[in-house]
This record gives sequence, structure tokens and C-alpha cells, in this order.
Amino acid sequence: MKCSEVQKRLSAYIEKVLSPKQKALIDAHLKGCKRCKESFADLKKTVEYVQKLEEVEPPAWLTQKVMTQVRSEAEAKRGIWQRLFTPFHIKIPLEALALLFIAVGTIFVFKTMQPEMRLAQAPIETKETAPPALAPGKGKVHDGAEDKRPSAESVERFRYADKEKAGEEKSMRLAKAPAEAAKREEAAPTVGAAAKDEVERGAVSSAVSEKAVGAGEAEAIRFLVNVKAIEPATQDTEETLLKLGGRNVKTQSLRDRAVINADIESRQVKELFNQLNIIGEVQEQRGPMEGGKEEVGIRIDLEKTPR
Amino acid sequence: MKGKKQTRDEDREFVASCQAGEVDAFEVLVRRHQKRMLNIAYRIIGNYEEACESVQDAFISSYKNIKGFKGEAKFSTWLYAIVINHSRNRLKRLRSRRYREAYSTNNPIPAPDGEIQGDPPSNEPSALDRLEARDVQQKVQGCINALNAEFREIIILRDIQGFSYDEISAMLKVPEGTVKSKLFRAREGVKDCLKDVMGDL
Repeated sequence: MKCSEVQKRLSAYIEKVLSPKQKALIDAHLKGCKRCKESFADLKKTVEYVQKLEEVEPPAWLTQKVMTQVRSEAEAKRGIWQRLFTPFHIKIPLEALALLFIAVGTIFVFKTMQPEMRLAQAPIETKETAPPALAPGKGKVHDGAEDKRPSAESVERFRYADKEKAGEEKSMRLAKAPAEAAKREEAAPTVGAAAKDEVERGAVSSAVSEKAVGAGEAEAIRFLVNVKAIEPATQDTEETLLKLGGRNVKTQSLRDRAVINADIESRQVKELFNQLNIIGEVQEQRGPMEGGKEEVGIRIDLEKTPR
Repeated sequence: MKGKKQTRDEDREFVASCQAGEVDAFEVLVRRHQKRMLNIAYRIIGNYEEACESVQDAFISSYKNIKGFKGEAKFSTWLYAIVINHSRNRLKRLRSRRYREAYSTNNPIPAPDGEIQGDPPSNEPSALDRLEARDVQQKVQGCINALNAEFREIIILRDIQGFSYDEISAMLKVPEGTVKSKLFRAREGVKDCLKDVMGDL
């Protein structure tokens, strides 16, 4: 083995990573070659020097300094949202979410409850003022049937039918009704405005003028129909009414119930009854089923079948 | 510390905690690895204060990237690779600022560990020996600093830190064969340098 080759392998020789055969060759060469032997000694010494370099100790503050920086880094990482809520970064968003749910829930409940609540309140408002309102109602289209007037309960149910025909009477009748309602009527005395008011009030406060309805409404015909689903039944009923030549079809949809008002020829009432029996189950029926060509007000209450 | 290896599981548990956001678990890792990291940094840079800075930077950046540690290698290997990188870059910056000459005996490297500490026990080297040893150490460090970065890092990791070839290969991301050949050349370089500055070995 040549000196140059030996020199190249000295480091590996020190590392003891040479094959036994090569190690033997170098051992043999080193014995006979002074130059290579010196090189080997120097290299060995060098490695020893390097290995003997003393270790340094980390300063005592190093850990703390690192951790301080790491903690502030972790803090920054948490993001602006959570930092806004420090030190309650876990709870507050949950509470905010809960509050939101409560708010949405309240609005939802209130929206669905509203009509019922007004229904419950309205009769109290109007009870005392209603009877005198009967008088001005006379003389109109449906007047003259006072003697036929059904029980107060059924009058209530006929209210919608009445209202359409008796729109113009209303301002008079309502004059004795609660001040708020009266004002509204007076402010909008024209037929159009009255009708508009009627829709609005009809949807939310069904009872305001219930007791004020005159006897003439006895002619109005009412159906109470139990159906499985309100929406399709409403559509079907509307279609049926139109088919039977109904006019002024007006629908008020509430949750779990719908009220449809229309005017049809009274001879069609029977057919309507039959059709309604197909759409749902007619629970109640009031008013004459027979008739001629004259138009009668129809009110159909669709109610979801109670479970 | 030389040649001592962290077993895989020792760090893994704390690394997982850190990844889950537990900052305190990182302190364990810092305490466990800071000395070795400092020694690597110190030998690469040749300056104690700078080495401390480098170790801090390495820990911070390893914390920031700890989620990126997937455990292909040992955590310590990953960590040391970071401190090597930081130290290498810091040295580059320092040198470009001419902060440090390649090697100068007139500019001794601060080494607190070399300070004389009270009365040494009788079996310890005498004060004179100590001074000489310190002088030798400075020269050896100077010669290491005189090497190119690639050679310097390998000789530090192998001969000072005692890492295995495959660990070095993983840290520096070079093949094992390259590690060996560079190590041998690095030793030759230090040998020649020491011969120059010490006259005789």
C-alpha cells in the first residue's frame, strides 16, 4: 500500500471502520513507514484535542428566557378573537353563542305566539264596547238577519266573512271599539285603506270586531275542516273555491291553521262542502247549504288534525 | 453528555403535549436539550454569548414549528438540525460584519468554564496546566473555526458531540458517505492548522 493511500485511510483507521484486511495492510505499512506513522500520530492527537474540548454550561437564565419568549409566542398564536376575551377566552364565546340562541329562540317563540296572544287579549278589549256597535251595523247587506244570529261563539267565527262585506260599516262600529282601533279606522276611511287595514288586522287580531258583527252575518257560511297538512290543503281549497266561481278569495295563513274567506253563489255551497270533505274532514258546518244565485260569504277554517 | 442518546419515547410524550398546546411541556424539552444545543452552537460560532442567542432563536423557531414535526426522525435530531442552521446563519452574519476574524490568538474566546474556580483538588491539573490547557483549547477552537462550515459542523457533531454517522447525516441532510469523507478531511484540516499554530503536536 502506498503512502498516499494510507494517508487517505488514516481517519477511517482511527474510527475503526475499516475492513480487517485493510486494517492489517495499514498496520503493516505504519510499522515500516516513519512518515505515515507521524501523520497517524498527529491525526490521532488532533482528534484527541478536539474531543477534549471542554463542554460549556448553559447560563441559568437560558431556560427562563426561552420560555418567556415561547409563552408570549403562544399567546400571540391564540389569535385576536381569543385575546379579546382574555382571561375568559374559553367561556365568553360560549356564552355569547348561548345568548344568541336565546335571542333567536325568543324571537321565534314570540312570532309564533303573537296571533294567539292577541286573540286572547282582544275579546277583553272589546267585550263592553261591542254590543252598542251592533246597531250601526244594521241596514247593510247582511242586516235583517239579526234574529237568525247564532250564538256569540259562532258569530266570532263568522267575523271574517262579515268583515269583507262590512268593511264600510266598520268605521262606525269600531268607533265604539277601543280607541286605538278606532283611530286607525278613521285615519283610513276609504274602502281601499279599510280593506288593507282589514287584512292586517285580520291576520293578527281576529277578535277585535268579532262581537261587533251584526246579525246579518248569520247568512255567512262557515266550515271548520281538519286537515293533515295546512299548506297543500289551503291550495286545494283555494282551487276549489275558484272552480266553484268563488270571488274575493282571501287566505290568512297562521301556524297550524289557515282561514280562507270567499264569496260564492249559495247554490255552490253544497258542492263546496263535498269538496272540502275530500280535502279534509269537515268538523263543523254552519249556515244554509241550499240557495240560489245570490252570493254568500264563506269562511273556511283549516286546522291541522290534532294528534 | 457525549454520546448519550435520548430514547425515542422520552421526548415524544412532551412533544405531543406541546403540539396539543401545552406550553409547559416545552420547558422540559428546553431543559433537556439546551446544554447540548449550546455546545453545538458554541463550537460552531466560537462565541458564548452569540451561541446563547442562537440557542434561544432555535428554541423559539422549533416551538413555532413544532406542529410540523411529524416524528420521522428523533426529536433531538430535528432540534439539533435547527440549532445548527441558526448557528451557521448567525456566524455568517457575524463574519460578514467583520465582527469576528477567522482566527486570532489576540482575540481569545470567552470561556467561562475555563475560569479558575477556587482551590483545585490535588489530583486536578495545576493552575499553570489549566492556563496551558485553556490556551490549547482556544487554539483548537480557532482551528475548527477556520474550517469551512460544512467541515466544521461535521467535526463538531462527530468528534465533539459523538453523534453517529446516520444521525449526522439526518441533521445535515447529507449522505452518510459524504459525512465520512468530510469528517476525514476536516480532521486533516484541523491537524494542519494545529501544527501551524502549535508548532508541534
